[in-house]
Amino acid sequence: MAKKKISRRNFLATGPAVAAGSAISARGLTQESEAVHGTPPSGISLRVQSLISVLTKKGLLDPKAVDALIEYYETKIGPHTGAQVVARAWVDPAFKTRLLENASSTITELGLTGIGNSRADLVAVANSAQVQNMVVCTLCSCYPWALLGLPPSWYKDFAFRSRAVIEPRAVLEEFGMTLEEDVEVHVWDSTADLRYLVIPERPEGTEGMTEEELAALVTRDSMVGVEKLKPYRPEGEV
Amino acid sequence: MNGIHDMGGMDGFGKVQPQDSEAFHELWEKKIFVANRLVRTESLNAGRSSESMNPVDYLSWGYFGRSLHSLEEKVLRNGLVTEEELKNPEGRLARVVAFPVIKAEEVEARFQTRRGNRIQIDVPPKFRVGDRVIVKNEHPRGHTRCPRFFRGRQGQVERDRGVWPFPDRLAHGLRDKPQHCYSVRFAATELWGSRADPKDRVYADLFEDYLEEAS
Repeated sequence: MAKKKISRRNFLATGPAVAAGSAISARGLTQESEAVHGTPPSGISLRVQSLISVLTKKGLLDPKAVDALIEYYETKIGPHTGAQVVARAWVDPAFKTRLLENASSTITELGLTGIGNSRADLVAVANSAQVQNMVVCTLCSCYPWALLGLPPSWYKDFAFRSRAVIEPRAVLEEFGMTLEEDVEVHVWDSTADLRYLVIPERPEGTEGMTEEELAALVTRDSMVGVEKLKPYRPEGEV
Repeated sequence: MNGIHDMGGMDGFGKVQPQDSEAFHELWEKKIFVANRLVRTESLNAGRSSESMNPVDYLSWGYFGRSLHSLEEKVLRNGLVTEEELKNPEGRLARVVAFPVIKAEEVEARFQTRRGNRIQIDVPPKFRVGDRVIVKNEHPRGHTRCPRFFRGRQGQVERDRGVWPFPDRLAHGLRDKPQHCYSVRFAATELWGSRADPKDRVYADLFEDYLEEAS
């Protein structure tokens, strides 16, 4: 299924309520609305350009370093790294045990050292048939960059930051997740220098797959805890 | 501080937009985000400066607008750039004394290096795993990593996460008071009453100074 890309501008143009207007929907609840977040002041991109130009001319910033760091964040770090960790945890129970005990030291076994310039320690939490873990940062947008890359916009948006802790089940539904009756939801608010990685359950139908094949099935959203991996069906099979 | 950034549990921000899944929407967002990370100053915790934004701007500027605020504030506070220079970037620019600029070829090495904040010193922990604790009902005016919705609530220590600098002091450039940080487990109903599912839990990583023993 192709994901429809919606720009922030489109939201603002189409959404019934925006921060500035705080419009009330027909039912009188802003909760019914599409999304509520800010509109940066017009001219903000010029203001950014001015600042960067001044910093560059004063020798405080190397514009080539700006491009290099953008490239680093966009291409070198990303959920492929977290997926490697998850796949190993699926095939190697002893690794998983060590990972849940001390994730920062255990991921070095995969040669994953010094990625993402993290000041934080990594913590892995595992889903099970009874527990769905979910990660948020209510105070800012702390996220395990080293393993998942930069966070998606929805993770940084006010709706997710405010609601994940008080109504996680409603939030998970918005991600299309339905939970079994007896499942507990455990929400991890990243309030200090610990970054959380959710180990999703290994999907059905993946018996006998290699670690590499398994890693390819692991999605970013499943490692934030807002997606359940679907049973694997080989292509063409119904 | 009891700022607008402390959003856990607020209503009214609408639905989550899972399809809005890219990190950036516009080029200026990328530029300001990385520029803010490349310009490093001695004053610690500049990244928290968005908490000092007025709440209306905080809400309306967006995530990357807050990066802009943060970088402007940082360079002005450190005297690297003046208000006049920002207003008139084509005008005369004052000289700056030596500043450690990160070069393009250094970027990968610099940003790969893991500089853990955790401290390897032996500070005896006040709490043990399984202890019942109450989050102190304190409302500091300065920076804190204890969200409001945990204050006054009772939880249980799940894990001891080791010794770290205390963020409430680090925000003022002080590395005193290193202390244990604990993952504390709360019943969702303890935080949200009948609105929560009795099966659910919320965890937070809380510093020792935020906590007291439950009687």
